[in-house]
Amino acid sequence: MLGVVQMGLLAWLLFAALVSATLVTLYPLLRSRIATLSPEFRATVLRWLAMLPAVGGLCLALLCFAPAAARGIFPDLDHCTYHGDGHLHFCMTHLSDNMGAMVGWLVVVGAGLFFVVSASQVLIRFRYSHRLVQQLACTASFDSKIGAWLVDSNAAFAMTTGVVGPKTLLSRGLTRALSPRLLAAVIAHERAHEIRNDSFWKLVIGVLSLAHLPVTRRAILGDIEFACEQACDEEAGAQVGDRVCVAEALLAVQRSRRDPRFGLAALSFGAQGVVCRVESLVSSRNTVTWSPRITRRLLCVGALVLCALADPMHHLAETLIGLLVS
Amino acid sequence: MSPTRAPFLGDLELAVMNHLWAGGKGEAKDVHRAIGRRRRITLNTIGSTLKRLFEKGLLRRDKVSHAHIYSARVTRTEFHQQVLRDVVHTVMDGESGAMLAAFVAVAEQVGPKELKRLENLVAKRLRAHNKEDS
Repeated sequence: MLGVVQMGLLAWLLFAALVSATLVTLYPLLRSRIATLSPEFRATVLRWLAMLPAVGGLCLALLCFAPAAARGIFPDLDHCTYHGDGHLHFCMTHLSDNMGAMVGWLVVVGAGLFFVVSASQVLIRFRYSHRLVQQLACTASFDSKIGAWLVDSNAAFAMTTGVVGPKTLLSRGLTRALSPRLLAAVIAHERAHEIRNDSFWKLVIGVLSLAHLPVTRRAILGDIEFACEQACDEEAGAQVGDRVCVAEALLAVQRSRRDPRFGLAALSFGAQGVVCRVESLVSSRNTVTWSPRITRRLLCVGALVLCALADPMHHLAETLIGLLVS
Repeated sequence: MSPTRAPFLGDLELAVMNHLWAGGKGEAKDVHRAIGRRRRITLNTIGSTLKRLFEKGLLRRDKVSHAHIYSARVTRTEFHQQVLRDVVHTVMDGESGAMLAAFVAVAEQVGPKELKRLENLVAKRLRAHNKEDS
């Protein structure tokens, strides 16, 4: 049984690595196509891409057990009869001699340690920033007229924070800098973050995307953040009834940053996000949106592909793991 | 404020600081009377909290007779500003990653020419909107 667990974990690692390596080449090519999707659709697709090595690798590893599982239901369906001697058997009924090899365990433990250390770093950073912002939130008072927490600061900012029960924080500086109409757009944008649970998803994806190579991970996470901001812009536009109002609010916040009364030193880090968001809000570009028909088609195609891939994946796993442990 | 970053304060620590900032007396038994009893916390716990806040650099301590009298070393505004600076720097350094989503990322600063161009673009769109409506 232990050997089967080891093989399963090795298969997961190998397939995760294969998917990750494939995406290093594919993602730059896919990026321009993904950019044509609506922000909401784009954010969903990118989230799945971020989780693909970890989740996809796991699914492929489980798929490898399908032929052996099928033998359990249909005993005459013994797929292993044509294996030669010494070939690794990736199944629960034919256990190989090299089951539980030390090399296999070293790889599994090594990868496990790497994941635990990396995930811990992600979680520690999250916890630190959570405590930091909670500290800020403690200094805020709830304004029932606006429906948000007000921080006593001249700086103009608005943020949503928290994984469980997210809160929207606004500064008094922002409420002074913006007209009620534009402030409503900002609040609607932040509410959209609360409703979409963006902080929670960022935490989950921050951990699951660790299976990607760093360069791809950085690109995908950056694209997800941008897509989420745009999705919240669109939602805010729908709430206030005018997308251009959200664009005005973005520019008004930028403008207020230049006003010495409103504090916060300018931090020159590039402003591509704001420029793209404003241009998108004032344009009437057509984008591809999600529909239930797409889901049904994807599920049908996915089921067919999985059935076709089960046996080849099974043999591929046997070959690759056999090479590793022999 | 001497610490480079604002120290994290727990719930009780924050309550004690709020009491002192509001002008409350700084002897342990006075603080206990004001906030400890309500929370069913012992005098010792209040004493430990005051000591911790002193060690974090947020309180001053003077000895009067046998008792220690604590007073705030930083004002509420100074503390809040330090917390805000820490939040800003954390976002800028990308450390927080995701615990917060800001309307406009603090690190973003559009140049003046670009800002003018975008404002003209928005104004043009609004004019076109108004023309359609009228």
